[in-house]
Amino acid sequence: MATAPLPGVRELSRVARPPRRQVPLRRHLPAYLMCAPTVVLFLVFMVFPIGFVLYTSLHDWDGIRSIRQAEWVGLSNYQRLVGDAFWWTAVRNTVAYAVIKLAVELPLALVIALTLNTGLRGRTIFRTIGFLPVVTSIAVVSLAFTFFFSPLGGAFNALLIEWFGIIDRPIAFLGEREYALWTVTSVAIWHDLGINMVFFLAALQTVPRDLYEAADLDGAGTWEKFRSITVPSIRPITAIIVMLSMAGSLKVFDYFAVMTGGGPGFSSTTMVLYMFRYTSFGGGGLAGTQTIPAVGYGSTVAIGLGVVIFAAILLQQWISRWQEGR
Amino acid sequence: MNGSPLTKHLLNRRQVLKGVGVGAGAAALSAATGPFVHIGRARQSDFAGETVTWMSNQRHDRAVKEMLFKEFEEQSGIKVEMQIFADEYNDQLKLAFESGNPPDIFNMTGNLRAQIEAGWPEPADEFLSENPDLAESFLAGAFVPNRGIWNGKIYGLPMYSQTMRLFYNKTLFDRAGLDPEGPPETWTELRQSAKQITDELASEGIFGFILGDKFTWVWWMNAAIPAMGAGAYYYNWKEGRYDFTQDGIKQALQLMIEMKQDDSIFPGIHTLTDDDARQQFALGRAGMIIGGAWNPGVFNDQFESTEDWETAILPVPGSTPEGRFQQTMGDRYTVSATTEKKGAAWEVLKYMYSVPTMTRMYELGMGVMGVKAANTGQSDVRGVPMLAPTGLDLVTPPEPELPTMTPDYQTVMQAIWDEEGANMDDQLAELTENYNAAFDQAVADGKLVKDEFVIPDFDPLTWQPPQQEA
Repeated sequence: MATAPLPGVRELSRVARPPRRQVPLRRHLPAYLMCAPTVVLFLVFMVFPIGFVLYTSLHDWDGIRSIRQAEWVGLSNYQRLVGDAFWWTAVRNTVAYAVIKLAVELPLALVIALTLNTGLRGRTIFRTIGFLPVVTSIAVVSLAFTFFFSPLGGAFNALLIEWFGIIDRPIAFLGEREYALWTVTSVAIWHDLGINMVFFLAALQTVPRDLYEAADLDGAGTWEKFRSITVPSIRPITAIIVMLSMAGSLKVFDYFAVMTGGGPGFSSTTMVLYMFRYTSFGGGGLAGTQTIPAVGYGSTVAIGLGVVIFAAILLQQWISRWQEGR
Repeated sequence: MNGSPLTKHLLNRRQVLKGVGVGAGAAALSAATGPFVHIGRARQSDFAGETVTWMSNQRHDRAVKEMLFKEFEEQSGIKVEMQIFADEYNDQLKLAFESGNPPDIFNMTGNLRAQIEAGWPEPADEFLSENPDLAESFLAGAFVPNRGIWNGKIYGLPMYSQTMRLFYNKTLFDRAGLDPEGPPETWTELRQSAKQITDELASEGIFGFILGDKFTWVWWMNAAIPAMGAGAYYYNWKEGRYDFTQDGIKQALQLMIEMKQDDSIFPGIHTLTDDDARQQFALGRAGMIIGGAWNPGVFNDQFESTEDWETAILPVPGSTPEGRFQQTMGDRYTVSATTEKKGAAWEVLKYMYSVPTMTRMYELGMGVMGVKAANTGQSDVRGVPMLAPTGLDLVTPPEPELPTMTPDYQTVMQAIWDEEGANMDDQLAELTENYNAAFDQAVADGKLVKDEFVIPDFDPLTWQPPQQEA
């Protein structure tokens, strides 16, 4: 009896695939309708603005005349951006801010979270205290710290002069080129510490307790348990925290806008502040008495900002994968 | 150092306003206080019953304008509603036009040429030709190409034309052993006075001179304007080129550097805004500050200063001035091109720009007005009499409008001050090069016409701006 030849993979897959059926639109209409608001909002507030910024970045446009009157300049705004020393100063400042903030804030938040994750007495109160700055407006915090660091009777100078005797005359921490960036960074760390502490706390509470109990039975010490159980368990969430924190830090604006205005000179100008210089009418006081905005070039700066953030996230993910592969 | 004439009874603007408010009704029926005011019965306008919107970024004159608009409504039947915005004004204005809901009257600020090309303001030629007295009442230089005239048409009527002045605290002068009636007249005296006040009073936290340069534009007031007294204008109209390398500019910066080296300047100026600095002056913590004619209103009303301060002419480098100080010509109010209430809107402007209304605004301390006859030099409000233009004030020709410069000259001036002039020559040369390159580019792109910014016979001491003719 002749046996029929076995079907090949192609035939099998053809057989396995269920026949394509025409699904009536009406069946999924409720789902489409429910998604529609989100899709429309996404198109209006994400896709269209990004497209518009891309379009204006290719034009010489002051933002006052109609966009139809804007002059097409091709890639010359991008050429200008690459050669713009002040843009690169803003990039350097922002990256330095983001790196220092991450390097200080995340380990600190983890240490606090680890402490508050124990049976510490009064930990609920400490958690609340730690989280309190997060729910305070950045503008209010920035303004308060402007007074705190002021050379005119500011509390910080008073502490250094009268209590510690480290300096003999007040220092304008927000008004000196060598201090401004780091002073603002310290305020941002203080403000944002709480949210990362909460993220880490949430992550720590997902680690199974029996792992620690097993480690205890094996005689593992605190450091071994942290290194071998805690760190691997919270690594995925840590990667997300790092990514969010990095992206947020690279977009920083409000702390610097309120406390230093990007100055003195360009010593604390960040990428977003630099974009604001060109896109706002009157430069927000940042552009001398010149008041003619250059929205076209400002859009190019915005694209540059997006590229830097994208590159930073790619780098972070690459490091994360490399660590996992080790 | 000569003393300044002072009124014996100095009142703040709030006190004067109260008096004016009480007498407003009577004043409205007295002789000339506005084009609609007549002895006996007030004449209603043809546009009575209409409401006109007035959009502005000026806050210091809000109370006075409210009072004037109320009087105007009683006389004409036209109601004026003010929409006042602060720093976000230009964005709000743009939004208003783009959303098809523009104000009937608005203050043209920022890039005026762009606003005109966008079709926002209505030309004022017809209105001014119908009102020749009004047309001729403005200060000379109010309507010249690139300032008041664009593409051959007139746009916007200048409300203010601010003079720049030195404000000094007489009590602190006295306490430091200086003549309280003799403010400094030369740069040397300015430096000596600042040092003497600091030497005598720094232990109390009082310093000789203050500026707040968190936002660097104030270097316009504190270096670019003083340099004009040395005949150095950073835009040289004679050559039609920017030139920041002029000796007068370097000397003005050097003066500020020397005051810094003397420790005469209030500490931490990079952390202070201009408002912060004015507040410190108003509180009696600084002996001197440079600012515009808008400052008396700020000291008197915003900070309610109880200090005995006074206004003085800006000091000049030597015993005789080599140039005149820039008198600004801005805040141009215009009727919107798209409003359906043009008739009523022009009536409002006619009232506001009348000599009696403008005079009242000057005498209430609002600043130096764009209408020449309004600046009488008479006022009971502290600091106002000395604001009136003198032979040392000049409505300079328009400068080219350049796009946002990076770095702008004020930021470079701040850097020069920080570095105490170590690289001043190179920095100013580079600045000159950058500004001229931007100017040349704007000319090459057809955005500016170079010849419109060249005045071969410009002389800092004798040149006069042209008078508008009806």
